Amino acid sequence: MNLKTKIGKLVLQNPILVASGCFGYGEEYAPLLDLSRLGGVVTKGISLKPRPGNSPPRLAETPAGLLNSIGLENVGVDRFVEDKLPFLRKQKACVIVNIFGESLGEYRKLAEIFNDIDGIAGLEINISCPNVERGGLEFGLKPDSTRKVLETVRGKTSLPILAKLSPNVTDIVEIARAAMTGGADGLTLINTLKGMAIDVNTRRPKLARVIGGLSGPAIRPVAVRMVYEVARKLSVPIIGAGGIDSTEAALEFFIAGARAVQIGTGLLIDPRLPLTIGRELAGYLDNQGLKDIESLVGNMLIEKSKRRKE
Amino acid sequence: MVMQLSRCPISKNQVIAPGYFLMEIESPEIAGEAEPGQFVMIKTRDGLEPLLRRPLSLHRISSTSIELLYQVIGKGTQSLSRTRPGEFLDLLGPLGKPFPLPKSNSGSTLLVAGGMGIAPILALAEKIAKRSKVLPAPRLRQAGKGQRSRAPLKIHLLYGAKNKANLVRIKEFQKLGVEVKTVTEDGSAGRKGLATNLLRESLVSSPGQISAVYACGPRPMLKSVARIMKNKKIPLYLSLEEMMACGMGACLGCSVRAKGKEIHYLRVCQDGPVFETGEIVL
Ligand SMILES: Cc1cc2nc3c(=O)[nH]c(=O)nc-3n(C[C@H](O)[C@H](O)[C@H](O)COP(=O)(O)OP(=O)(O)OC[C@H]3O[C@@H](n4cnc5c(N)ncnc54)[C@H](O)[C@@H]3O)c2cc1C
Ligand SMILES: Cc1cc2nc3c(=O)[nH]c(=O)nc-3n(C[C@H](O)[C@H](O)[C@H](O)COP(=O)(O)O)c2cc1C
Ligand code: FES
Repeated sequence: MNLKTKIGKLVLQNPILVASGCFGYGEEYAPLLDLSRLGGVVTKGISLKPRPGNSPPRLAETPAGLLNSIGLENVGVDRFVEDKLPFLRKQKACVIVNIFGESLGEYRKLAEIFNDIDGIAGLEINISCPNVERGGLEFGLKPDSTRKVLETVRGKTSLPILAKLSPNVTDIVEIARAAMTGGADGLTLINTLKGMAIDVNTRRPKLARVIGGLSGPAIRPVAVRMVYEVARKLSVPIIGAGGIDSTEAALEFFIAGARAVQIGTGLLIDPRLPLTIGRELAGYLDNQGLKDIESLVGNMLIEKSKRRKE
Repeated sequence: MVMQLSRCPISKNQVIAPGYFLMEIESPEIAGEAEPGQFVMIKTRDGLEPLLRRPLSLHRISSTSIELLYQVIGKGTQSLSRTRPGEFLDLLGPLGKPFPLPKSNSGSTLLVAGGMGIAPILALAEKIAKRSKVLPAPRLRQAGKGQRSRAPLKIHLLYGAKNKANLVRIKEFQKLGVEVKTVTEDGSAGRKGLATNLLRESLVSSPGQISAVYACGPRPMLKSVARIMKNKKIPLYLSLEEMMACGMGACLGCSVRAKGKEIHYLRVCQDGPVFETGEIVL
């Protein structure tokens, strides 16, 4: 079964990737799964300088969901390139580096640095993290600033670039269009939804930072809808993410219009989930009489009259 | 240390006190790798509620199985308590750094436990006791006597709980030759007080040298243990708890502040859960 997929000029051996922030830099999970068998490894968000992250508690569980406020803790670009990247290369992982800046200048610098480094398949531009004071989500909330970040990165690298978008916007299609205009090769949809939870006994917020990002099955219907909307209105390559915890969940994204998927929270619960889904996906395509993943993408059966009404 | 991800059969799951359960899980793979102080992440039931795995310490390690001691708190531990022998649970482990053993095989070692903090302390006591039987006491060996004899290393358990019913597993410690002292918060068994009261007294009354102090319990207890031990030049190891998602160092969710001027965090699951007191800010 051919599971190969293309996101613009980024070619992936299979469409199952691991999402940024849920896989560290690959070292922790390597004893449990062969990184070379993943469609891609998206690294923890990397910034120009190391970031300590937010104060704890950083996690809270909610119904079928997880709230986090990690705050983009990361080792910084220098140590990433020196200490972390060689391991990923050695494992023959398809490495997509997730980058994050507090200013256009920082995004520019990061793009420049990674453009000159071997062993990277692409960049994912994070303009959607809800857990930091500056940068991140600020850029991803408006079409104008979204386009500017993408133009800035595009100007400095020939690597494939993915724009990782936030669901915390009124019109996702508008932002998606801006990212593509700015030069993105594809889109990752979605980052976490802003959320919060309160411990009623202590009357304290469960996260030290009060508001965090919600992930997990709880957000899946929102993510599937956003993939569907963007895929239908703009024909652009999309990587879907949000609450994938099974093959069935992954399939929803493909049928809605995604050419690949990322698994985040699901991985924290079952580290081998990406491989399980990869296996079962092939079986599903067989059963449906489809010859490859391409034939499934956006292949939702719906009457024309209903589609027009949406 | 190789971690395993596998479905393991439950061989025992019994109430040993109100709301306290002892569970035995067959897993030669995990048992073979496990060290006291480490933990496992358990998927307490299939499905979405609860979503995440739950961390539980290794309470006892045999050659083919592990034991867990847990208190029913919420959804996860509740569904764990309903698991029957013969059923299977999905385990990931062993995880985290174990307790370093005392460097010296003489003097005394103090184990301070508060409430459910007793869970990893039994595995530790068993390991220290076993080692002190195998290793000849340093002084005897120097004297050239040649024969193995019981080392003079003495293990003291200083154990505090809410009430009498919550003081568990004391016999298991006594069988190892551990000297057990208990207090309860309501005075329903032994004296009224906290485990830290026992620690203060032991520091004064302890005859020989103290080779190491180990503590596991609620954060306020760990804080006061650290305060009491400050400047004593005795190694102090603390076992911490924090909310966890992955349990293996990947999500950066379980942070504790590292000591030092610059803000920097360590991961309780991977850099701990056992820390030496100088590493962290409680
Ligand atoms: C390394 C480690 C080892 C542990 N070992 C043991 C053990 O041997 N025996 C034992 O009984 N318990 C142990 N715990 C605590 C245990 O993990 C929690 O009690 C359990 O996760 C609660 O799950 P629940 O679904 O029953 O409760 P929930 O409904 O999830 O939570 C109920 C309340 O407990 C609190 N809580 C939830 N998870 C944790 C946590 N990880 N740490 C502290 N508080 C929490 C929440 O704030 C919540 O208010 C350990 C925790 C860690 C981090
Ligand atoms: C603990 C945690 C850390 C994350 N860190 C990042 C990050 O550094 N950069 C980023 O772009 N997204 C980050 N995310 C978002 C995920 O990559 C993903 O987009 C989101 O969680 C939705 O997918 P899921 O429901 O499968 O987790 C993080 C998510 C979680 C749960
Ligand atoms: S729980 Fe994920 S890093 Fe510790």
